[in-house]
Amino acid sequence: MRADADEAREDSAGREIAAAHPVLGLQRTIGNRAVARLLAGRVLQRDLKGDHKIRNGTFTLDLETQKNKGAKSGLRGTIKFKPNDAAPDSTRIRLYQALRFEDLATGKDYVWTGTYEGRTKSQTVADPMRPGLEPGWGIDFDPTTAKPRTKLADPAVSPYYRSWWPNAASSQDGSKKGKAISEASLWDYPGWDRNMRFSFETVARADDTGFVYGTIAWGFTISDAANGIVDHEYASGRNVTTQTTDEALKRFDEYMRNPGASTAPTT
Amino acid sequence: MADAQALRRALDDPDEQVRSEAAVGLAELGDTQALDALIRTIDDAPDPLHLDVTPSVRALGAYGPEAIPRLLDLLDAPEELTRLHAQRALELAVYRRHGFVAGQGFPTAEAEEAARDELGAGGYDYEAEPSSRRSAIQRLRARLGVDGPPAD
Repeated sequence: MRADADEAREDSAGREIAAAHPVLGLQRTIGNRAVARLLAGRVLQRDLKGDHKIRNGTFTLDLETQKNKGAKSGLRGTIKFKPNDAAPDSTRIRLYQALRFEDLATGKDYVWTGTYEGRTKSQTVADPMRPGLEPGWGIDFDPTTAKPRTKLADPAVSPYYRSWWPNAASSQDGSKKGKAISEASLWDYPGWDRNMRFSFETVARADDTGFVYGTIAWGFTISDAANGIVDHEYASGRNVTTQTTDEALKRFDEYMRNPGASTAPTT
Repeated sequence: MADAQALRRALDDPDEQVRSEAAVGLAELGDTQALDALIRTIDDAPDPLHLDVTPSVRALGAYGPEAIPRLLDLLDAPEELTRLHAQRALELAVYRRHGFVAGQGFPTAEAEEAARDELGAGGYDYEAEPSSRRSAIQRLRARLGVDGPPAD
């Protein structure tokens, strides 16, 4: 509802701009797509803020658009999950996220190289036997500091966001015992100076029991990096993970040679 | 092994990726100019999925106590992103002192709480007004045992 109201306001703003500046209306008529988007309100950028209720609790987004003409643009802020009273208890509720990063210049998934190549190596791949499985999704981790296991005794590598980026001043792990509830959160800042599409699914999970409380799918597009245009922001809560996110987690475990993976060291 | 002199020259490269790799390379060599190079390139080549993290942020976080006073100075830099990067490097340095390992996290909840206490949770905000920032930096200096006025 909020999005519809915003768009109505944007369309209204576009009409007012066109009325005040007839040359813009003319530009739109002759096919200037940038002006058409401007007047359609498509470049009026929207922060991703607000609550998204799911069966087991509420995701709260507080992500602000960072518009930086000629520099790097994106979204910056926190994602929180608070379980409701009826949700299962947990001593530690944590968040992880799967993501896809598409290069609009090539129309393909961005290929990570060098110290970042672990991201591409651990992504999902298309499978004709699983039509709902999307390629190019991977767990959000830092491949430059990641150390896949080499010995049986090595501890498992964590997929949880805060195991890589604790950002302890602005995020925390959560918990729930009856009505004593503490929210789980993460702080994030994706963005770039190229035209890219960012897609995420953030998952709230009980680390002690493995119970998945739910997820929030969110994302945005840098459609005109030179002018700092960030648009097509979206967010939507879900009660269960997608099969693509599940596969991304499996691929992460395989890449990290975690216990239970086919690649896990045996000695 | 990369030649230190070539790496120093690369610090002036127009490509931010090259500059940041040169600075990190100097740190890996233990070069005497490494700390200056990391500070100079702290904003270069951020991770597109985490713009608050650059190669030099990671290297400064692992550099050791010598980097702390320089990072405290940068917490009052004119550029907001520089302040954010300095904050992340300083946090990483403190997290490591409390057992944080990338991909493992903190060893215990108490260790994370101790790291948060040392940084003074909520005390410094890179987006805050200058006067508020400077007060927080002074408190951080005292908390981290770094005395004296900021370096010029």
